Amino acid sequence: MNAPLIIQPIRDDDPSRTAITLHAITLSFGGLDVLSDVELTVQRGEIVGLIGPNGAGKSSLLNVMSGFYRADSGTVRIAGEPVTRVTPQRVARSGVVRTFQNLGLFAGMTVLDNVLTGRALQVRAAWPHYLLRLPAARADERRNRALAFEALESLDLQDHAGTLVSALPYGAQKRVELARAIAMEPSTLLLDEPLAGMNAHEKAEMVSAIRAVNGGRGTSVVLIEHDIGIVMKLADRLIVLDRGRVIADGPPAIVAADSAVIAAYLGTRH
Amino acid sequence: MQFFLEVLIGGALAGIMYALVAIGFVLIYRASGVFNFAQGSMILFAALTFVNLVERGVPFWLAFAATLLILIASAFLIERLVLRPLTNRSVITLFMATLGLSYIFEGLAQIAWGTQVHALDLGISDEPVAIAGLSLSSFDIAATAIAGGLVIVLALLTGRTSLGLSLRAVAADPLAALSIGIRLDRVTVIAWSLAGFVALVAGLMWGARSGVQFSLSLIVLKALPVLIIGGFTSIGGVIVAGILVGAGEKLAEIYLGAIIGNGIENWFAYAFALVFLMARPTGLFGQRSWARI
Repeated sequence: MNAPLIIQPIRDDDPSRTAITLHAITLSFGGLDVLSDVELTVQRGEIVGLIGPNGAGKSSLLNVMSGFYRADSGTVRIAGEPVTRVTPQRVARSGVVRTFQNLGLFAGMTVLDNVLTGRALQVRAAWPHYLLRLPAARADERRNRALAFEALESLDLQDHAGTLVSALPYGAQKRVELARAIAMEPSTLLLDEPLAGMNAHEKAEMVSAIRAVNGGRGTSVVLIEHDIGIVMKLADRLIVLDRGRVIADGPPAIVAADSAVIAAYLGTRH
Repeated sequence: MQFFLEVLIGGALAGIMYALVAIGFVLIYRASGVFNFAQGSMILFAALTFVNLVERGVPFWLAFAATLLILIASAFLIERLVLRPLTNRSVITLFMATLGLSYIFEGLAQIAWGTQVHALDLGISDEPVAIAGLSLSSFDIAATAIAGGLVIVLALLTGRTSLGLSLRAVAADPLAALSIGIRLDRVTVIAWSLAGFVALVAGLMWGARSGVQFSLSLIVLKALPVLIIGGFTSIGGVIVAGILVGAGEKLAEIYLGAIIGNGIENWFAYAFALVFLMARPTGLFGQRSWARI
């Protein structure tokens, strides 16, 4: 096997500049190696595209980062801090928010309520304030609603605020999920195929929303995406996985031209 | 006409007592997505604990607080020992677990407090009072007021608050709720604690009416049709349904009893619920759900 192509941006190892660091991550399911010795660093404010053929371990990697899978060995650091006992809830609370490939929305709730759940952690007033409707609780509520609406507007969903989320078309539901993640004011977004099943117009909208949250708040983004054309334009860096290994990591143009990457995708030119 | 109104309103007020039981089911169904078969045993357990404390000379409010604390402690234990190990299991598995729980609650109640029937006096008299020319039960009126207060408190706590959103989120999709940092364990404990609180209130009201005894756990059977009609997810729905069932069964007993025989009161609620299941399976205000295929 060829040595992997690793061309990373000039990186100071100052931990305060890293969003997520994975070190020697290994994961297997019943003898099947899903991830082998994965090294990966996401810098703050960076958009990283995670690509690779089906079954390469992309979603598994995202699940390890977000605490939904526990790696057999290796360490996960968030903002330079090692996370012991990585759980989804701890990861989310430390500002790393994910979306799901098959939607993780709350059916039976309106679009606005779905996005508001993203604010449920950012409650400042204690519950007696809520019980008695005191000003502190109302201020909380106003702020959370304002932020939720802001997130909805950034994805052109404001007209659907009162609609039951399950009544929306698939592409719109994907946008709601991103809006909920954005409403959480995350430091890092992990997006599992955010553009899947969308038409060109919706894709453009998603891309500009991702760019906006990345540019505006400096949120780092890791996204799995099969539409190479879009990923090439959106990502600052591409990481290519194949059979659980990182086979390339570097600027999109260079990575896409790499022979190992082409081989992994097309299965030719060995 | 006056008699008709008395039967109607008397029945409606009695129906609130059914709703009181049903609310406990709604709280847990909304958070854990499961029909909590143990709710009836919790009601029995709460009422027995309270009445035994009072009989041992503990003042009313202290006994109430102590019983509530025991129920909250049970909520922690249930989350840790029953629900957490069963995370992501099917609804039927969870349902079976609550079935087991109901026996544990009944058994514990029996071990701790014996099997005697206790009378419970809450200081609320059960006498006819005249309101606007109608003769109504003072106990039913008090029960209605208490249920009303309970509903307002629950609505404020679980309505549009972050707790309410978290409860609904956890019920809708536990994995997605985890991904946005909601603490599943805490939300579950809160839901079961609230259901314990409702069980205590319902247990006291039913205990005061018909004595604290083991058949108390069977009022679940009366709550079931109320839940079907009102919808498992709506507190307001089960109140309306309780009123409908209460009023309906009394009216049926009095006006149809002469024609098709007595005892209608015993099966009316189920027949009514059956009609609802066919016409409106999600209940009056239950959440309708869609799935794209």
